[in-house]
Amino acid sequence: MKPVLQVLKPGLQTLFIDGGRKNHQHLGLTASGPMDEYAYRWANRLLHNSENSPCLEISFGFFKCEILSDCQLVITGANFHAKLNNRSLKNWQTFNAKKGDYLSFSGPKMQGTRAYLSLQGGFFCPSIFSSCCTVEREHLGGQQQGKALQKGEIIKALSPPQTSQQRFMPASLQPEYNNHQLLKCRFISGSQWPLFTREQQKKFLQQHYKVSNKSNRMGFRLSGEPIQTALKGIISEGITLGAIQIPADGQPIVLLRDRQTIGGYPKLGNIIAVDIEKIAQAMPGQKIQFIPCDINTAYDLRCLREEFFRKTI
Amino acid sequence: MKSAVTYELLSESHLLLRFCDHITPTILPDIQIATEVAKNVFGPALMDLTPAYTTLLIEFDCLQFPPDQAQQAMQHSLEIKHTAEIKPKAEKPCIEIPVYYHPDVGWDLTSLSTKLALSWQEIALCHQQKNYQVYAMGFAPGFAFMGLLDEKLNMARKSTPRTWVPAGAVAISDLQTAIYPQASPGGWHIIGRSPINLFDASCPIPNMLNTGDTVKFTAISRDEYLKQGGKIEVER
Repeated sequence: MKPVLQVLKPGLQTLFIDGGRKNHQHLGLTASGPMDEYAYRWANRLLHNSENSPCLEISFGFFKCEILSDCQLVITGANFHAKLNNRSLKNWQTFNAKKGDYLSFSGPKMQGTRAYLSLQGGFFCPSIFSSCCTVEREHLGGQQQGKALQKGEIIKALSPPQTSQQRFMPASLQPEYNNHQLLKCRFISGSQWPLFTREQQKKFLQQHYKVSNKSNRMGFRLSGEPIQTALKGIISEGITLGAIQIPADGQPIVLLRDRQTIGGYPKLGNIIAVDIEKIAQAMPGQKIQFIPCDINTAYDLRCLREEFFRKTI
Repeated sequence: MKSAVTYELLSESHLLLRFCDHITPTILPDIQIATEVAKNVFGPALMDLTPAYTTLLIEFDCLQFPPDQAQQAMQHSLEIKHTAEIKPKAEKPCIEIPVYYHPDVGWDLTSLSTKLALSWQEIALCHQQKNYQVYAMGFAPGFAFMGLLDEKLNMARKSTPRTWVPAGAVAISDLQTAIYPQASPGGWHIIGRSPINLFDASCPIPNMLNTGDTVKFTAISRDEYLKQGGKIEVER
């Protein structure tokens, strides 16, 4: 396997990520996976890679690497004003790079927080428990037992890298990440919803929550006027992607990719699948409002998205 | 199935089955049956199964299995199981776990002794007297929540968790007990340490314990503990 990139600056957190570590939650292993699944899948799709190919998830930018072999790459997701040497690159558009080139990202531009870098033919990263996803607290994944990319680390290509014709996603189909905007997240209320008083439910729906800076791949903490509940806790049960928990301090936590497998905080509901990546691209300080939704709508939206994915290109 | 199951679609791809409203070992076999049923019902559409205490969370691919059908299919299959003769699975043997109980490795034995009004030797004995069930896996890879402890050992978790608990630490909290599979932060009271490796990521079957298993703790001497590869470390 040919070396294709060498990390010069790892940035705040750059991780090997694939579709996730499925079917291992019964052992206590987190499901992991890409924070923004839409951007991750398109990164591979634009390069004709297989669905589950490893990508680099670059959180908050500042990643820099040297190209070690001629290749084709693509960046999707957040816009960190990436450059190849001195040339500005557009996201959602494949580009060819030559040996000796430098690929660099600057910091967040209020247009998302997580970018995905993929290589035509796929990066090579060993799998453990059927995934390469990097989870530091479990010491699993990536090339160094759960460690995020380090300076000097060499990344290899799964198949011989090559340059190729360019492909892009039409601008009208690219998601817009605007961290100045109020984020509207649709959710399905759960069986513990009626255990909160009408007044507390109303408070939850009307508030513009602020994304706290204590937010990471495990979950996003929100801050606002606390939601009160007489519920101290429930018997620990499996936690879903997008679950909205209310801990004792009344400040909601939205559980995301690296969430613990089980937990005992009361829950108001669950964010629908197609809105997960919106929250994943949110910036600390950004405002969020929750909008009620139902299972059927959530399901239809998910099917539509899949149809679009299958029928494009 | 003995218990009355309730179903809740948490999202377009998650179905939660609740078997009981309180923790009891009698529903563990039902959760295990439902786990097997879910594997048959969903086949390749099954994404993940998370059993815990009184529930089973099923994650499925809604593109292969629409949510309303998922619930119906699961409900139907469990009802058939309800009426059909279920051959009881051969009882699994009790898993014995060696523990070195001593304040040198059981860093909370001394403080617990004061709080519980028992000598540390009595705490160790009491911990060995029962067989425990694994109610759930979670918190960390291979971490098994076991219970229920004798009421005499009931102690709420530490108000300030330790930043470092070593691998193999045997600990208690409320009416539960566990062994930390890897070094991690933790808020449970440490009463001893086992030389056994509970989670080996390089093995095809990495975990020693599973939900539904029966576990018994047996005291070993310091020499035996060291011989089996046990370490004696100071708190960091």
